[in-house]
Amino acid sequence: MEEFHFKCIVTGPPCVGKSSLLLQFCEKEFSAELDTTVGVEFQSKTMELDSTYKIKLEIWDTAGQESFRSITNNYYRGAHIALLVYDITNRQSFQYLGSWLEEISQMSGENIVTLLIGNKSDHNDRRVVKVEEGERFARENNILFIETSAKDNTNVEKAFEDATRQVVKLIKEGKMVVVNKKPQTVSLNQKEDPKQQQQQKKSGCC
Amino acid sequence: MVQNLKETQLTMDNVLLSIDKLTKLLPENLQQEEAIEFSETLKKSPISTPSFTYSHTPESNLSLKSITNMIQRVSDKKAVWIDDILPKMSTMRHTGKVKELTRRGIDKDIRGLVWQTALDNQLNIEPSLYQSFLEKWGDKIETNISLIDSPPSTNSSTSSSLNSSSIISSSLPSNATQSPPPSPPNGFNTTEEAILYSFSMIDIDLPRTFASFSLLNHESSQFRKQLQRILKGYVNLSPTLGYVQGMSYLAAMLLLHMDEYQSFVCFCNLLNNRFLQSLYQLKMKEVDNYMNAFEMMLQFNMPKLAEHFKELQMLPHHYLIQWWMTVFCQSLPLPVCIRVWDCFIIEGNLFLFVTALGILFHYKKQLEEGSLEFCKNFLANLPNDLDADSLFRSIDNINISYCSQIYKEIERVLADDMELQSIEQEPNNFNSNSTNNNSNYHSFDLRHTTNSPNNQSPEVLSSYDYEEEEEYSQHSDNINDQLRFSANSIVNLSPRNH
Repeated sequence: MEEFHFKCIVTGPPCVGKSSLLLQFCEKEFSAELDTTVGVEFQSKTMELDSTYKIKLEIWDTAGQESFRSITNNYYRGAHIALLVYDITNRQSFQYLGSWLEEISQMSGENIVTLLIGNKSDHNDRRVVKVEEGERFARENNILFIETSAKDNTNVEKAFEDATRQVVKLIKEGKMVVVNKKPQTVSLNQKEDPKQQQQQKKSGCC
Repeated sequence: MVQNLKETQLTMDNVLLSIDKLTKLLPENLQQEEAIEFSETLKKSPISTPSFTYSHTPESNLSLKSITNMIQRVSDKKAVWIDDILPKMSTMRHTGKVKELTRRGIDKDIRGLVWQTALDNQLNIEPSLYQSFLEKWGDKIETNISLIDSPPSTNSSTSSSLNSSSIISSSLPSNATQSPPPSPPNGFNTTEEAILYSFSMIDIDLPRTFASFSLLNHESSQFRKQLQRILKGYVNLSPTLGYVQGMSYLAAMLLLHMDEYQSFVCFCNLLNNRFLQSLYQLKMKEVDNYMNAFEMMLQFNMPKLAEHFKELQMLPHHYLIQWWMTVFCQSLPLPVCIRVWDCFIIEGNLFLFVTALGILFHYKKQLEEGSLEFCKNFLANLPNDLDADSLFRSIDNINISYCSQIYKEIERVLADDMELQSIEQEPNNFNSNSTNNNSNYHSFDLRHTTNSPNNQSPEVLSSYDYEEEEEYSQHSDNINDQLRFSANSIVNLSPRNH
């Protein structure tokens, strides 16, 4: 069985169920009493894809609050998959997805596979974002889309399968390169280009 | 026989009295159910007075003398705190005696008092400040702001609005700040907008703080309402920083040990230090410096593990951000965490480094053999069966004198940076985070060095002797050799900010 090692980052506004999705995916559990994510949390999971591939996933769960961007941004480097999550019962969480998407493309490589996830689909009675809206947004931005429920485990595995399948496809087509079948390491201590430094200093004086 | 019975009666009376006392020590602000839950949690693992688990001892083995002695010792220890230490906290806290007492755990009934005294009130917060905050925001404090009222500052349109000058200066306490912040917090049109955004984040996070204890799950919970007011009070006081996820744990931990207003005062003063400010403002340059300092300490204390982490490219950021921002509230079992807080509050930030090293030491064997995935996973989700005594035994293996020197050095470097910055900016306790992103930071970079602290084998270290704090001063040249300071060599901030 061919083996791949992918890095995946889960991102999106606060309280949309990012950690719950991961808990359901990795541990097959749901808890209404999950602690808030401070900074970045790590999970790993090995899954089988279409009985053909063995995929080892390194998953980084990020804090949704804006303030944490300076930390979470570092985790995009070398990521193969970005899961962008919103809450179908919260209009605000859907409203600013454009800027989240912009951030994903700025922070990661061009070929990152982005999957838009409308979570909390079990709360259909409280839905304020229609399925079609999610679909349209995904189509317009050329990304994948799925609705999930971390609570009743609807489509959670499928979400990860869809995303990884797309990465494998890109690799097979030669559009994405995986070095040593290991994800690139996240580096939080990038040395700055000296030229940039000088520019920064100059602008600092102005 | 009669005499014996009398003695027994007397002793039992004493024990019951003490238990009664202990029960009363639960924070008064807890509702009954909460109090029961809280005390259950504490009972599961006694925090500071293991002597009170006497009920599990068969009566025949119960030595009356030993119980009396224990009670005597406990009350003696309390008397030492109250009579000798608290009145002279600022000088006494650095002595070996106080540190040693703290390491053994502060008695629960004086813990709140000790914490308050140690945290002090350098910000001179007065009840009227808290009162005026409550009056100003009225129903916005207790009404849940269910949705995020402001967009995250991610697009260019928001950054252009930074020049807006509509600042609600009245939201700043006159005795705490001299001047309003130069502009509303990043990405917000007005300070009020920023405050409301923070309020909504607080409301989201309240039920997600210590979630497994369900202390905060119910909206009607008194504890939750108090925590909500404390956090929103802080946002009102410090709108530029506002609420950052993680803060709710710190405030909740304080509120478990003292009343609402005292918790507010302690919370503001606790956050008023450079280390926690760097973390909460997520100033990555400064945070990186602290991380590098930590790596040096790790290298010295556990060279094998440090090498292993280096090979795996396991950065301290992966686990320390969460550990430190919540002061271990998310990582350690509550009773253990409280013991760590005792030392953290008395000894200061260095103890956060020491605790982290202690945790790594405790699980050293597993970590040294673990893969990158294992290590990341393990440290992000520590086993929940760690007990305080084991952790503190591991901490005893850490060479704190060495860590202390490194820590002092990093604080000195950062203080120099602050001075540089303050030339351009009025020093301001609450709004110091409107920093100049282009200022010259020094860096404290382990990576430029040879990484061989000295020729001693630090793997097995004698436990720390407080009276010999300067023991390692002879190595200071050696340490300084490793510290290379160069401006701007670590830069790693969100490119969005340009």
